[in-house]
Amino acid sequence: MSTRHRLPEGARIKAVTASGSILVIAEEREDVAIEPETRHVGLSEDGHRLEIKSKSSSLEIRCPIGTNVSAGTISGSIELRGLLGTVKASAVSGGIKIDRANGDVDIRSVSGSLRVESCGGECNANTKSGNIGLAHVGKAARAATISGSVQLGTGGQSEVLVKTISGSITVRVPEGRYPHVRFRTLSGRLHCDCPQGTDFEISAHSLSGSMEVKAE
Amino acid sequence: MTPVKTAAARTAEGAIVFTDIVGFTEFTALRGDEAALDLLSAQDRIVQETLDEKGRVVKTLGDGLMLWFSDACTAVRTALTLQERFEKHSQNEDTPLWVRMGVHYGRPAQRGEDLIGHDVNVAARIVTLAAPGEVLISETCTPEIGEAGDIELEEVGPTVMKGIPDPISLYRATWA
Repeated sequence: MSTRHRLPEGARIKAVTASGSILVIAEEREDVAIEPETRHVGLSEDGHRLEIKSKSSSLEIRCPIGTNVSAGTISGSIELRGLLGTVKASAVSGGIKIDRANGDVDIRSVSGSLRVESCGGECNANTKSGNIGLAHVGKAARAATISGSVQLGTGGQSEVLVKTISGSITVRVPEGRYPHVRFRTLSGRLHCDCPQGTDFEISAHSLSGSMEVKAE
Repeated sequence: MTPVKTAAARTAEGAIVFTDIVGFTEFTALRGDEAALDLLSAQDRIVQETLDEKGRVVKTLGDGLMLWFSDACTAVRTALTLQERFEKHSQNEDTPLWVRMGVHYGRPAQRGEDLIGHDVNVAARIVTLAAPGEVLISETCTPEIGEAGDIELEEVGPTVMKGIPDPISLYRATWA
C-alpha cells in the first residue's frame, strides 16, 4: 500500500530512516508515491521540501524524473535509480548507489561503499572504509577513503582530487583530454599511460596506495 | 527505592569542535612511532598558535582533539584557519596532516574542565562523516554563521547517527 503526495515545483525530497534502507526511483510521473504507507510525510514550512521520516522500516519512493533528493540512514543502504537532479545522501554502515544525477552529488558513509554511474555536476564522495566507484563525473570530482579503493571516470573538464590512505586509485581520462597529474605518496607508485598536458588537474594523495591514470 | 538526589548539572553554552587525523594508524605503521609523535607535535603546535582566548583544548583523544569555543562563528573560523595551516604543513613537510573536523553548538554539562553530554556526542558523530580537510557543522551553528559574511555553507543532506534519535542536517563550511 503506498501513499501519494504532490511535489511542488522545484521542491526536493528529504527522506530519513534510522535502520531501514531507502530506494528512490525516478520515473515518468508527476506525484510522489511512498511505500509503505507512512504518517510521517509533509511539506516543510517553506514548502521547499517534502519530508519523509521512518524509524525502522525501509522506504520505497517513486518520484518525477529530475527530482532533487536528499536521504539519510544509519544501517540501511541508499539506492537511487533513474535520472535524478541533485543528490545529497549519507549512511553510516550502509552503502550508497546512484544511477544518474544531472546535478551535483554529495555522498558520504562511514563504512559503506559508494557508487555513482553518472553525475552531470560536481561530485563529492567520502567514506572511511568502503570503496568508491564514480563511473562518470562531468565536472569537478573529489573522493576520499581510508582503506578502500577509488575508481573514477572524469569528463576531463574540471579538477579531480582524490585522497586515500592505503587504497589504490584509478582515474580514467577521455580521449583527447590531457591532464596535469600530481601524485603525492609515501610508498605508493604512479602509473600513467595518458599523455599529460594542461587541460585539467588531477591531484591525488595516498600514504601507501598506488595510482593509475588511464586514457580511454 | 528512593531516587538519589543530584545537584543540577553546571552547563556551558558554546561550540564543540572535534578533530581527527585521517589515517593516523596507517601512518604510524608505515613511518614508525617517532614520525607519528612528530605529526602529533606539529598538530599541537599549529592548534596552540591558532587558538585565541575565545577557545581552548578540552582534551586530547588519541590523535584527535576536543576544542571548545564560546561562539559558533569563532569555532568555525578557527576550524577553517586550522585546515589551511594543516594543509600548508602537509605540503611543506611532506607529511600528511589530513584532519577532519565536526562542529556542533549546544549546552554540554561541565565536569571539571571536561565537557560531557548529548551535544558532545553529536559533535563526536559529525566528525566521522567529514572528509580529510573538511569542516562539517550541524544546523545548530547556522543561525550565527548565517550572519557572518566570511563563511559559506553548503548543505550536505540529512544525517541519521547512531545513538542520536533525531536526524541532523549537516553543512560543509568554507571561506566565502
